[in-house]
Amino acid sequence: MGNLLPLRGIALRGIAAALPLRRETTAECGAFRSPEDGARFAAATGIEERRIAPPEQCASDLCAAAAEALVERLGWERSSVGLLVMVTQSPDHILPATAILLQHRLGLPRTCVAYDINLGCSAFPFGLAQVASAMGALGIPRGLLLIGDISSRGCNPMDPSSYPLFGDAGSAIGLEINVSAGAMYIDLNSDGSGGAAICSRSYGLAGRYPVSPASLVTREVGEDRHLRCDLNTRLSGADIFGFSIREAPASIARVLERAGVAPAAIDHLVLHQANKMINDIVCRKSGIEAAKVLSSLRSFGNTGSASIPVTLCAALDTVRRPSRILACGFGVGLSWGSVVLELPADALLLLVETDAVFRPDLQLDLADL
Amino acid sequence: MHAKESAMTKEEFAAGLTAAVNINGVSLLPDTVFRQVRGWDSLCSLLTIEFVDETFGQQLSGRQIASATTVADLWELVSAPRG
Repeated sequence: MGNLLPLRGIALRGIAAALPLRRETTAECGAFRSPEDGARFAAATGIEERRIAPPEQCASDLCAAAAEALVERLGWERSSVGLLVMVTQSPDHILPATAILLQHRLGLPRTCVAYDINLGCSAFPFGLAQVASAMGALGIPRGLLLIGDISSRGCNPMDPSSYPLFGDAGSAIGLEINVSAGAMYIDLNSDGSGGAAICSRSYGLAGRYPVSPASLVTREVGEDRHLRCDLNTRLSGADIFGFSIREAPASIARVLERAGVAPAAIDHLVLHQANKMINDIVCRKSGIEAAKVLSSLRSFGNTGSASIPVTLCAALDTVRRPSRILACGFGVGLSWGSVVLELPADALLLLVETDAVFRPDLQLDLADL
Repeated sequence: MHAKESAMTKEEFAAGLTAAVNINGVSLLPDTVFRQVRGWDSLCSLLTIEFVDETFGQQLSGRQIASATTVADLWELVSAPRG
């Protein structure tokens, strides 16, 4: 029970990450009551600045830019990509799935299996497990895992408990069937009893709290009395904190045991970039040396679902080649998991910086409805 | 494993928490109603969890913090025998 089998015969070939160009520093963030509050926030979270997407840019745009760079680097024929999975909580539309629009946009064949997964901070281990197992089971030679979110736009810019944390990012991970590939060891977990800890209550018209004019009214909500509307992301920091420092180290311990390796055998630990307080504690409990921990909090903040790929690509110059990586994602859901994998020497691409916005696939005009 | 656990008094806990949350010019005492302290914000709750984890090896939940009124209540949470 819960003891997932290792994934064999699937090689991770490359990882690319894309970020928007605009930087917003914590000091210039308007959510804080005073500059002192901003400084305390920066000291505690380790976040000095983040990248904020321009108004029309979507997570799919950043993921597409990362995928374009990756496919080019790997020299893959587009016709050879048989699986495209997009993990996001900021899809282009409620329907259709963003991955299907990206199949077309990226010029992938119609035989490509494409679908979305709705996960956030845990996207990397869950996405890898999903893509690798689907490829292995269905015999799909090449697959792309796209992970990204425009987390900043879901937050109320006046809410100091959420808005200053999040940066926007997208990423692309390329996997290929290869009989000699090292195994991936996986640990995945879910606990819906903590669903309220990070929550955007309303979406669309068919959800639990359908969107109405009232959904847009900003008011002081929640125990913390911060300004939000029902469409905004609400983060119960204390709940997330306790959960993260309890469950992430336990997941790391389980995946190390499954991989049959000691903490010293891990070259790099890459955690979801939650905040410095959480990550320092998880790191300390993991038993993995602090010098082996990669972080991108300072420059990019909490990049949500894409934080692990972003952190790896941002550390391009310091990552050992090849290396054994332990990655652990934890958060919204609650959902958390870890993976131990072999990262090939040339797997990481330079960070892509782009404000590109792709032409909408669906020319929806309300007047036509 | 956590040497301070058994030795820490309410007063020492309050002093440790004062340093951890680091609100300008504020000294927390055992009977301080911490949420009414000027400058106490959501970040302070996180710093409290961090302090308790580092000092006692115990992970406070948001609900536990919400159930506490004074600094001494927080101390009770972490010094009560576990069952």
